Amino acid sequence: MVLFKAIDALNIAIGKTISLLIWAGIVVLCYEVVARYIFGQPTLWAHGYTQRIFGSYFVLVGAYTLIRNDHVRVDLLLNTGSARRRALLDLLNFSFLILWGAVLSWEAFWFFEDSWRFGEVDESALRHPMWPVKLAMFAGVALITLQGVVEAVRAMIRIVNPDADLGRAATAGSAAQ
Amino acid sequence: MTPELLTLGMFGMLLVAILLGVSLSFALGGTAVVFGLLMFGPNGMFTIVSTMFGSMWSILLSAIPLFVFIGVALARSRIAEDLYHAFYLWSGRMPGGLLIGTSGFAATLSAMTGSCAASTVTTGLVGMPAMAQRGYDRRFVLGTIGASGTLGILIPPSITLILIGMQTGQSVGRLFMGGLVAGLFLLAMFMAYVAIKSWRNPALAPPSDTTAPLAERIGSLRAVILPLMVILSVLVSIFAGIATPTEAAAVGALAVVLSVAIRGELTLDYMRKISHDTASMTGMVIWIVFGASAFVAVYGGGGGTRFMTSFLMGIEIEPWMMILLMQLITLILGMFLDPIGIILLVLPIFFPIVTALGYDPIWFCILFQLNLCIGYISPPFGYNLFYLKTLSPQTPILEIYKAIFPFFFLMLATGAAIFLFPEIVTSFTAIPAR
Repeated sequence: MVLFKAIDALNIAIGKTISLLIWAGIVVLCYEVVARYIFGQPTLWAHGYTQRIFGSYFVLVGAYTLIRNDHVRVDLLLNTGSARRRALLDLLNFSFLILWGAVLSWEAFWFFEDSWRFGEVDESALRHPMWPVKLAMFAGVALITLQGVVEAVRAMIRIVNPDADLGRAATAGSAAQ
Repeated sequence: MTPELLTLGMFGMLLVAILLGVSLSFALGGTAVVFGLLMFGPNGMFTIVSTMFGSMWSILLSAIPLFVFIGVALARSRIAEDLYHAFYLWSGRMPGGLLIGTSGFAATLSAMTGSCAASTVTTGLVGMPAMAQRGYDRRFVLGTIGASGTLGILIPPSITLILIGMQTGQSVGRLFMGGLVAGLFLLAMFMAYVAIKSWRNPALAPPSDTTAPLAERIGSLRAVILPLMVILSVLVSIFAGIATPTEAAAVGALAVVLSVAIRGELTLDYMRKISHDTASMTGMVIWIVFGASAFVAVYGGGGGTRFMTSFLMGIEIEPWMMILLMQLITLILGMFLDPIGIILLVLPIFFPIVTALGYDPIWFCILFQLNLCIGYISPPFGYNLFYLKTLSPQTPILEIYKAIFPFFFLMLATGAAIFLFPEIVTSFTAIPAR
């Protein structure tokens, strides 16, 4: 349980830190508009860095969204029936995530490694390296998969013992806010 | 694997997973992995990661967190309450006036946020107590709020219209214009219905016997004028082609933060909270996009998309019936699936047909979007029905269905009008520069 709580805390901390990237995106884009209309010269980098900022943001907030229970589900069967059935359905949910996330993590790692090894640069005039955003992609998919494993184990424990104290109820939603 | 079997297998697995409560995002991604492995083996998995990267790298999608941010920033401030207060004071003495005002309030909120959840729930929370106090009929109120809340994804900025633009390559400015026209048309229908019904039966929505002095009414506008100007200028700069949707959203986000600061509500805690909420809501939307991109890559790679398109094209019916058929499918899917999922799964199949038949693509997309809105209030799974239930837990779900019924027909009638007279939309959608 200590390990699980540590992983929760890690993903919450990363999610909250990454959430601040939105401000960086706002500043970069506003600067671009000012540069174009007031200084009369658009920047070369604003476009590419908007893509880098938000690309990383998108993938790295995944685990945080999971902890906040915001990946939408149809709760037709979830809120009726026993706690054990609920735990079983949670396990199914996280199994889908782990299946997808494991493949993504494996592929994203080699995607990043390729980019790093060949010194890939973007196709715009900027020609800056691509590996950082691909590293962010690998980190993001690996972290949500890790969180998925934690939640799946918690669901298994709840199948055996629905009243087990798991530190943080995975499906309570507001706990991490 | 034949395309028929692939279609049956992938959509079957997706549907079962969703009904068993698997998150839409994970259901899409997991199904893509299973069928990708079955068809292409481990070496075929690269497409799942490369299409996901394609979504991450899309500059148009960057507009989504920024519009979410604008909505969250406004909702977490006290601007919504002040706005409602202004509508309250201006609603006047006619029967149903406050409900008409509430409908207008919901439409204004829709222009601030890009989602139905935000406009429906906020409208209910802010508006219902005042209307209960005036003795308005609860069912009448719930129906109007639920229907007006669906304007959230129709009136720009709208997250779903951005996704439609991404999926079809159509101009987001033109889609926004079409959404605005259709949304205002729909709003006028709602208001007219409420006015006529309350005029015939004033007991449903009794008129108020007092009005606030003019000075107070004008004073109430002061608090809301700034955020309204911000939203308006965001839309105008997109329509005029001065800024891309992403740039306009960023400038709008900054302007909203500044107007919250001018109101004296900008604290460190507020800034942290809106950042966290934006991240989580963005994660929800974007991870569905990730899952759907994997699903579509595998399905398309296995020949499924081409198969479905040529299957539909092969049906020997008039072109207008084909359009109607596609809209009907959308309407039915909307009763069960999330709009984001429908856009990403179905448009790649439908869109080539629309262009091949020579219909106006923007017009088709607006009808498509309107159907997604109707899906929001269709029993049994329409999201807004559940939001209404949480707003008024003591109301039985059956009564909520009945409350929404007339509005469901008003929306269908609006769709029929736009279908029969495309000029309603197309004469405006040509205006935006790009």
